Amino acid sequence: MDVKDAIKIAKDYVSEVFADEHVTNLGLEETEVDADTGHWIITLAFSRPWNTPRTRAQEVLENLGAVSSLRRSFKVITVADDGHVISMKNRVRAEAAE
Amino acid sequence: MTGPVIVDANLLLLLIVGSTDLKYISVHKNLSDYSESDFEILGLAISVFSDIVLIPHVMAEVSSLARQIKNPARARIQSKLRDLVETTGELPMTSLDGVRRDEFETFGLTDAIILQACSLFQNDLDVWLLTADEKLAVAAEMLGYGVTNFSHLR
Repeated sequence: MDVKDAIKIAKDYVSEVFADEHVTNLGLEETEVDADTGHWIITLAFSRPWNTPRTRAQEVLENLGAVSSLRRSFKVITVADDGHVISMKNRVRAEAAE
Repeated sequence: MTGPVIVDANLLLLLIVGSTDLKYISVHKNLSDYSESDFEILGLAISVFSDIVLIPHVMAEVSSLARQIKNPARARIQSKLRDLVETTGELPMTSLDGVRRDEFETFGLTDAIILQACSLFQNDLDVWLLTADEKLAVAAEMLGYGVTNFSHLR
């Protein structure tokens, strides 16, 4: 399995798991191969409805980068070489702050 | 639903500078009264409103205040200011709107125009004022306008 396959599996997994939360803006952030296990570690980010600006004022703040609480959710998906998803975890906040 | 908000020049400066880089807040000579936590409070305070509306006279003050820092910070802050103006609505207030108000003599042109703007409606909603200026906040309150004194949020 190459990195493109791993990314697709991770995205499909997130889309399915969070289907009832209507997440948007799902995008790739990082990829890595665990040197010990050979697992793909895929970091994705997306917006949940409550992360998305609801008013023009919030949209302006978001565009300025002024309100961090409106930013996206980050998830780290670990995908085994046979294609099954081993885990999904939150990326720690210090790393998520960009 | 909460209506649009007018943010005074000092708080808009804090918004612009903090949005550019939080570290600039502590080094900008016109923001010595503010901290990074004030910037966070300001963002939350603005986010409860439906929109931000700019006033040309206020923006002229913000632009002048914002420039009082050395490059490269100045250029980055100016760029952020441009972003704000390009993406935010502006109330077409004129100097005449200010000088015709009784408060002009006491508060000067910009604050008189702000008070005039507070008397307006947008989409049938009151225009609200967010200010750190105690005297302006009291004046707006006495006139029956919607106002939040930022000092009370800190």
